[in-house]
Amino acid sequence: MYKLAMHRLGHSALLIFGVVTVIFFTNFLLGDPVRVMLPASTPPEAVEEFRRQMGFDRPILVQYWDFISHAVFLDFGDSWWQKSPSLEIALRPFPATLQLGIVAVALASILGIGIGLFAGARPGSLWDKLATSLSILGVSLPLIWFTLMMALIFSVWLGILPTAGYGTAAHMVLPVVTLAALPLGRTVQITRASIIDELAKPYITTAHSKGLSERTIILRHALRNALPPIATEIGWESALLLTGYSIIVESVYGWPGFGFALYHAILTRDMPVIIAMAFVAAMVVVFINVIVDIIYVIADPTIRKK
Amino acid sequence: MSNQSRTRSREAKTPILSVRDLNVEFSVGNSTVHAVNGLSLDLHKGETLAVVGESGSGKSVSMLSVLGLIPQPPGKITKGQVLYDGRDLRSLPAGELRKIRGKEISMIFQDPMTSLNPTMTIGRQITEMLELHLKMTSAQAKNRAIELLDLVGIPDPANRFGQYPIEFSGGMRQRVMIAIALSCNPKILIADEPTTALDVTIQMQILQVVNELRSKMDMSVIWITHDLGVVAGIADRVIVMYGGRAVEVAEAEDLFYKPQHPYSVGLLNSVPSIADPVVDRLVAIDGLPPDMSQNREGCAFHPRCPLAREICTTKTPELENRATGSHAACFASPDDVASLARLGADQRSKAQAG
Repeated sequence: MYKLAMHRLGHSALLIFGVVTVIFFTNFLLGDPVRVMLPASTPPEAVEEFRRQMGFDRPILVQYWDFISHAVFLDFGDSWWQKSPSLEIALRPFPATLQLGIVAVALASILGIGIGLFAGARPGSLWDKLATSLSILGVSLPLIWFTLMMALIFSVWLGILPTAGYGTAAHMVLPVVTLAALPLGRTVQITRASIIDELAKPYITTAHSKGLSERTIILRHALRNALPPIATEIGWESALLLTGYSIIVESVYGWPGFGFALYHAILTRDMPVIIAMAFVAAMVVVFINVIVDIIYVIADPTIRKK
Repeated sequence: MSNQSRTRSREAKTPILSVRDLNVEFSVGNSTVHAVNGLSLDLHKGETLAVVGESGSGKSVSMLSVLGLIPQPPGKITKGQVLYDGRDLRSLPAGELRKIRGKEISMIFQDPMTSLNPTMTIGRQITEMLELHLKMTSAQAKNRAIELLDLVGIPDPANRFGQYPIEFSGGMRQRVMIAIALSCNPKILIADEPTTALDVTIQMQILQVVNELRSKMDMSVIWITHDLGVVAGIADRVIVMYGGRAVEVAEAEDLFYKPQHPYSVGLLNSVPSIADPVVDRLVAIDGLPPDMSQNREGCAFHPRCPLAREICTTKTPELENRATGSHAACFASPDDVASLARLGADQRSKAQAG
């Protein structure tokens, strides 16, 4: 167990190092950073002067070394536009996203597992077909269209929810619902498939022969065995929510969170901030994976003995 | 005591479990597999009834159907009664049937490696039965579960109580299954080939455990098997199944010495014996098991039967009383079947001599 944990830790460090490195180099592929930062009318001498000042005239590997030797001490440099440490800028909007993310993931998980179990316990029934159809709808909604339609319907036409902003519970409704739609659909599908698999296993026949009720069999016996793929899926959705869905949803609804900030950092090519945000996102992914691993051990106690 | 008088004394009593004209189908794609076609059987108090037959003869499906344990759909019990304690289990509401499952009639299964929940301690898998059916508190249930583990021969039961199935060998897991099945002192134990997945020495131990507990707990046992060696070791009576029907019902001893159905004769001939080791190749019944998705006329065994006649292709024989006290479903005369059995025995001894 201890060995496994250490192994995972080493693995995670390597992962984060890799992510940060890849982001560092891809930033240069997007074009000359100096040109982006200075107005087009800047005289060429001034451009070169600025390039020297920023250190962009040095060979790229030297720049990389300079960057990485600071990054190990969590120093990703100052933002190019806001004169403060970029890690600080990356972390500042994080709680707002966490607030949305936790509510959305909790909603998607509880509803998704519940509906998935209900549908999977009676495959082929009308309820199952309804749940499956709705989950396919949830999974295939184009998020950008969905966010705009929700704003149009509930804010513009019905006028019952604010279009954008941060502060009250009402402001959370649209971002949470749109963030939860895709994970909800997928959780229903995975839970349904996983529980159908489990219910076909011989130990379920044993459980029936013991006289246990359908409900007890599903909740006490099958669910625990069905949990690992569900936990993996929810973990993956949580990571995707932070680094993908939140960019669209927060930008549309003006939610001052991580996705919104990342969108701005990319628009302004604020390289140190982009890297710092990639670092934060990678850390979160690692953390989510640790939680998924813990759920694995809780679901299947025999993992500890293997 | 002669066979006749034993049979008569049994017939005088009402059976504890009685299956009447059971029919079970499975829908597979567009075709329907007729797994059980009009099976009837009686189980008497305290006896061990073996149900034998080849794979696909409907023996497991029919016994699972007794407790309503076949998956529905695709399975469907289309006809028949299962009478237990004066009630038809098929017409009981689900809740009432659950009170019988595990408490009155319990089961053990073929593969002990997959029949236990891998993520639940074996102790919990026993105590949940005790808490459900006997309304024990968790402390009482734990004590009783440890006693049960001890009873089925698991060493150090108090420690084993908290372990997971993965920490047990196949034979030990089957003992755990037996402990679960017997936890509520059931009247009937249905054993669905419980020794098939185990090696021979472990097989013997499991047979002994069940036999011992049967007399100790005054249970009746239905033992599904395709192993005639197991039948000889454990059964009082035998039902031979073919094509989803009973083709012969006999005292175990009579089946071995005076088989009354050509299929039983074929089965007995194909058993390799230590006394006459196989010289050339094993004796087998010619032909293939019937395709259960085809609706056919006549006796299911007729395409493979050396005694088949015109009538066998059009009419299905019913079980009839034979002079020996056995019942057989066959149009051939008992004398013809007897000479077929002698022929088989001769062939075997010739093969041995040659």
